[in-house]
Amino acid sequence: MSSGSLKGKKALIIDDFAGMRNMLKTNLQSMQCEDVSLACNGDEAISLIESNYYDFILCDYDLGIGKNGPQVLEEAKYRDILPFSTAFVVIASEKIRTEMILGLMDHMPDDFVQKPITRTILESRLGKLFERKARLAEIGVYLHSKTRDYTKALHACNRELAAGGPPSLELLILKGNILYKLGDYKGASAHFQKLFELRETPTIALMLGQSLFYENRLEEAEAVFKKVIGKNANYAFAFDWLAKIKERQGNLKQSQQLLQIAIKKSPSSVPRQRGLGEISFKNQDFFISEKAFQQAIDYGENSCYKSHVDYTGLAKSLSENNQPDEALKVVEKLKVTFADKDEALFQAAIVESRLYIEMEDEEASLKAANEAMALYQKNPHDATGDQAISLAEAFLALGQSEQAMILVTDAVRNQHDDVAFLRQVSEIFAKAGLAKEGHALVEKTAKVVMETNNRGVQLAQLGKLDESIALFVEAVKSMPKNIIINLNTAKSLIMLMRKEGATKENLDLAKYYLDKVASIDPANKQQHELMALLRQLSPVKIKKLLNR
Amino acid sequence: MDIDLDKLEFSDIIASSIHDIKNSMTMLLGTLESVLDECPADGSKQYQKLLQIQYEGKRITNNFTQLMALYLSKKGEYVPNVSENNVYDFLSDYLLEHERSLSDRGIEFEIACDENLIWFFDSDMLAGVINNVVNNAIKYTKDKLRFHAEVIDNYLCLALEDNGTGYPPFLLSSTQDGHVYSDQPHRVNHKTSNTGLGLYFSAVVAKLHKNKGRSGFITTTNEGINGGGKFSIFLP
Repeated sequence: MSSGSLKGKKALIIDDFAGMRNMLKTNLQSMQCEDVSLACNGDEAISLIESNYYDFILCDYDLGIGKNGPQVLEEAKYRDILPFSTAFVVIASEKIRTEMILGLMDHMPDDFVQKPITRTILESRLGKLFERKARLAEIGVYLHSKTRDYTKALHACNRELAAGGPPSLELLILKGNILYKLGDYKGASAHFQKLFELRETPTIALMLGQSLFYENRLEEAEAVFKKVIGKNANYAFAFDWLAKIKERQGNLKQSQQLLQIAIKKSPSSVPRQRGLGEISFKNQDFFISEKAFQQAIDYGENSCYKSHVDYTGLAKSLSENNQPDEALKVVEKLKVTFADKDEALFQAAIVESRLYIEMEDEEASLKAANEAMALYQKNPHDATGDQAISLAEAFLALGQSEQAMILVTDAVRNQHDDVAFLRQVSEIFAKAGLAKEGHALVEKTAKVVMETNNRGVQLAQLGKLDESIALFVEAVKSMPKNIIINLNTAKSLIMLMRKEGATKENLDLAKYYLDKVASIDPANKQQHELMALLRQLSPVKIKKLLNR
Repeated sequence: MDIDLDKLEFSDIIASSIHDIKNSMTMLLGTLESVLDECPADGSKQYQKLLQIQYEGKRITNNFTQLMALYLSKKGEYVPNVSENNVYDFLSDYLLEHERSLSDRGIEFEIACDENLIWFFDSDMLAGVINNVVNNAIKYTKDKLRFHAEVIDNYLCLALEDNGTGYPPFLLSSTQDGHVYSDQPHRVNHKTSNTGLGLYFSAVVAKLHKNKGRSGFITTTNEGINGGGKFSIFLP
């Protein structure tokens, strides 16, 4: 009966129901798949995946208490313990499968199977997955965490496409994804545009819309996502992206409405609930933000998306809703849950100190603020500008303006040309009756940054590229999140390589600074332009260098 | 998650029951499969009876799958997950599913399809359709089944022909302005226990497959082998 295509394969079955596990095991064994491991819950599965290699994993959606099937997959991918070559199959009902497709989650399984699972189906589905994985094996190596190299992945992909035969849509989509990962949004959008004309699948629509979004072609991106909704209004991911577009366009109210629609259709996504929490908080719709952050915490309980930011968001919302006691309880819970995470404790201490100010307990507030400051000084560059301002504001309210000055100086160095941010800084000083001091501080700090930057640019223009690079590399150390400084460091490096040829070291260095900009502002136009220059540089110049 | 049963619609209650029944069906059919493996395929009466159980079990499962799909589609929550498929592989896989039933009943079957034909569809949904029509054809054919697949006018056309007595008139496609329509639920005929639900389900699946402004559809005619039934599904 069996063709034995599973012979020699290693399998993992994850199901909370012993009868089902054993039946599946018997079934696999009758297909000559001898090496079958069993796990009865998500945690057990994760530890098995971490320490063993499996050719395929069969995972039931419903695993009783704890993680569900998709959460196991999510965590395995998030922690990068699942090799590309492992086929992950989720056993899901039609309803669940549809929910996952509509949500178009980041971590889709390789395939779904429905109950009742018959031997023939299992054998043919797995056989196809193995074939597919084998075909993409080389590309897969370059996508895997330890050996990740998107440029090589792209070359491997192009080779595979040139190998003849009709190009498979899957391979074409993969190529587009790699272009996207390389930050070549222009190339990716052109590529997906062509695919979209061929087949209007949601996956292609999502990738096309996303690429257009980061290319700042917001109207076109909007049109793509609207088209998706026109086909089926239950595609929650399309609403997510429409919300992002509205946010980028500055229409926060509409952005919030769109997210609320998405949540109604598919509430269980933690990032979506968090997104709604953040935007409704900005809109001062604190009842909505309270609910959203609470949901993010609840749904995140077993998820790799579990994060302290939902707790601080909830605490701040509760505080705005005049429930400081409840807010403090949330902060306490945060401290216990994330006891080993400095970043979480830092944020908890900031929120705590501000809560105590509201409750007019200066002593407790100062204690929390000092705790926060101590954590800040451990890793000053990890704090965001908003966090620094928030803590500075607490110190100002407590009459400790020197601490506030330190925090704000660092923050302004990183964001010296962000007008809205500088205005916020001036406002907190003005509120503390120190308008003049605040203004002077901002002026002085920004001026130093600008002078440094101008000197570096001038050196580059004079052709003194080595000196320019040395100056920028030094400057970036004290302001690692300053977009302009990062960009100009990369720019000088690129100018040098255009003049004298590329070296691997300089290529990596330039990419490092550009990646940093992308992580702060993925849609930065200049970053995209420099990235394009860098890409032109890499293969050709290296070749020349090698031939010399 | 706690569910307040009082607040549920009856259809929701049925849906969650089906979910549970399907677990049982998995166990039932899975266990049956290993029993069949251990049994010599000798055409003994016992073996015949086991095959009959398997056939009915699969019918029950298909019915549940269809019910769930129709329940979800009414709520706009039945959505195709389109991928590219080798049509020949797909058809042979699902015929293999029915291999025992077919050979046991002495039904000859063939697949006429280019082995390299690739098309885009949701293979789970199509599997539901194929299982349904094959199950029916097994019931109504004399001794032949023929699958036929080709691309016509940018539609993939999958057709199953049998050499039985053909569809009763009330299940045949109606023809209007040169087009054939089969997307209405047919009247239930309790006498023959033929509800037409399977065809309705197939029509829903076809319609959900859309590309470049065109939707899929199905037709039923009596142009099969020697005037037998012919079911076709067209996917853009």
